[in-house]
Formats: sequence, C-alpha cells, structure tokens
Amino acid sequence: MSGSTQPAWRIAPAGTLLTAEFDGQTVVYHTGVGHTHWISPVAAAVLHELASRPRDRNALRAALATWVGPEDLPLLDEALDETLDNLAKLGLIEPQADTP
Amino acid sequence: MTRVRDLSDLALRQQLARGLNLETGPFVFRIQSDETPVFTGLRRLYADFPVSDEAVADFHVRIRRPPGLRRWYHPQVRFEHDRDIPFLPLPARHAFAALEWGMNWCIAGYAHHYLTLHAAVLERNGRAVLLPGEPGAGKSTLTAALSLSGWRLLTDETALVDLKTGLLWPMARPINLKNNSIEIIQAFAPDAIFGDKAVDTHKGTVAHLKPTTDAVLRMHEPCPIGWVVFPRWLNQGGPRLKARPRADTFVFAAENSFNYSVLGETGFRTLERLIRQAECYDFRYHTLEDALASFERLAG
Repeated sequence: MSGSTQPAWRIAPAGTLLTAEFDGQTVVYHTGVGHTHWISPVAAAVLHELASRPRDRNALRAALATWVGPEDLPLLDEALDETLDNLAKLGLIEPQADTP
Repeated sequence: MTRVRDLSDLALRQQLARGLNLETGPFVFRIQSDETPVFTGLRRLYADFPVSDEAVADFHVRIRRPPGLRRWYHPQVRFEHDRDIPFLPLPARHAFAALEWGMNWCIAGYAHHYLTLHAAVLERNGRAVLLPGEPGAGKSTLTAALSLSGWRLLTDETALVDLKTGLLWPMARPINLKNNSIEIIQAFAPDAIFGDKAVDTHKGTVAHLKPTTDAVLRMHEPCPIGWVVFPRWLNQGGPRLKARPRADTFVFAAENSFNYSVLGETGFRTLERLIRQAECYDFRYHTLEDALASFERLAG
C-alpha cells in the first residue's frame, strides 16, 4: 500500500468498545450492536492504538512493530491487513470518511 | 411460614383456583389453575416451597383451557402471563410442563435486575459451579446426579447473577429431565421423587425431579462462583477435565445469556467479574460415577 492513498482507520463511532483481558486474551463488546467477540492479540493491539486517535495502516504497522519480536516482523504485514479486514467486517472499525 | 406441604389437598386446590403465591428464590409467582396436573406437580415437587401471604407477586401466571371446543375435545391448556399468551396451547396432560416452561420464560424475559445465563448452578463448600452446555450435552443429567450427591442445587435452567455483588442466586426449582435421562436418574437414585411424565412434548418425554429439601430451605442463600464447567457426555472413555480459556468461556456465556445485550455495559462488566473469579474447564465423561468423583476432587 502506498502512504498517499491509505485511509485512516478509526473505531466505529456508533457505540463504544468495551474490552476485558483474560490471561493475555481479549474479548471486546460493541455497545452499538450488542455483539461480543474474542479477538486476536493483533486485533487487540490495533484497537488499543485506534482508541486514542485514527491512524492509517503505516502508522499502525509502526506501532505494532514495537509489540512483536523481530522474528515475527515478516508476518506483521499479512497479519495487519487480515486484522483490519476482519475488524471492519465485524463493524468494530471503519475508514474515516474524510480521508482520500 | 406456610409451605405447600402444610396445605391440605382441598386448601391447595382452592388457593390454586384463586391464585397461589409461590416463592422460588427471589421471585414470587402467583399461579392460578384448575388443572389437575398442576395441582399434582405442585403437591409432589414443590412440597417444601413457601407459600407467600404477600399480595404482591413478581409474575402472575395462569394455566387454563382456551375457549371453544378445545376445552373438551382433546383438551388443551395455555400458559398466560398477565394478559400475554406467549405460546401455542399444549395438550391438557402437559399442563405442569407448560407451567414450568412458562415460569422459565418469565424469568428469562423479565428478570433484568440479574444477568441471566442459560446454565445450571450447584454449590459445594461455599463455591458455585456453573454448568453451561449445548442441548444434548448431558447438563441436566449431571445436574440431577450432583444435586442428589451432596451438591446444593441453585438452578437447573437459568443462572441468576447479582449485578451488584456478582453472587449467584438460587431458585431451587425442579430439574427438567428428558428422554433417557429420566431412566438414568431413576436408576441412579431409586428413591428420588419425580413428577408425572409428559410424553410426546416438543422435547420428547419430560419429567421433573423434586429438588432436595435442603436446597429449597436454603433458596435465599446466594453463593460466589468457583468454577465454570462445560460438560459433555461421551459414549465411552474415562473422565477428562481440561482447562478452557476464560475469553472463550466469556463469549459462550454471553451468547447463552438471556439478557446480556439488554443490560449493555452492566451485563459486560458483570460477566467479566464472574469469569475472572472462576476456573474454567471442559469436562468429558461417560459414567455418572466418574463425573461425581471428578467433581468431588474439584471441590476439594
């Protein structure tokens, strides 16, 4: 992905995301639709990063690179793209409307 | 305090005709019916339950015949809650089962001052075990066997989680057993008291098991969670207790709650506290004896 065409991702504005962590694993509840999901550590990290402000993929990748060990860096791109896709399908995040 | 067993047959029939206030844990049901299976079921299975003199009841329910030919021809009964008639009529011989299912429906639909979960709950040594389970997993059979083996029954059907304290509240109502489970428990405990079988219901043959007197006498004693155990009966093999991730347990419990989404954030935080305090397991078993021994070890 090139930086200039990337959307900024944000937490879906309809409702609030509540999270709870159990033994390193996270569940998230979307108050907007009333659904609960058991999410991966990468997804939990993405939601954590987006909680403070919207970020594009490059910014998320840079942030997540500090969460994973060097041996996992080659997998990070694939995992991040899949995670963004899944979180969007679940309605937990969405591209910010005013980004190109 | 008057209990159902203190009433003569005539007095029980008369109170049922005008409305009997029955206490089941935190709820008072005002039950009105002239149907003999309702009288018989209450007489046999609710003998130890208090009859409240209070005028106010949480739920006003009736089991009575619909108007028209069905009063007489292959007679039917219907469950009524206030002015609602939520279910299709059932054969009159299923009147007690209709009452039990209707009472469950009332609690699942209206008791939003608790987080309600589709699960059985029993207590041993001051800690509760919550038994969720998909249909056919053997939950009710195991619940019945445990309740007849020193575990205190809180509920067979609907766990009530206190929103403020996180404690589990009892109701101690009869255990609903289906099909082969009836014979299994009759063989396991020949002296156990059952209601009449209702055959050819939409769940097959069902019969209700009388809760122990101790469970009923302690139906106002809530209990903290100790364990969440997902039982599954297998047709062979030894018992196996395996840790289950709490996150997975949380999601299953949320999906099997009657009012988690209704409660919103309160439901989420209540369930979070419950699961955080519990050890969570999957449990596979074949014989009840193996299962009981495993639960004894669990309770320490």
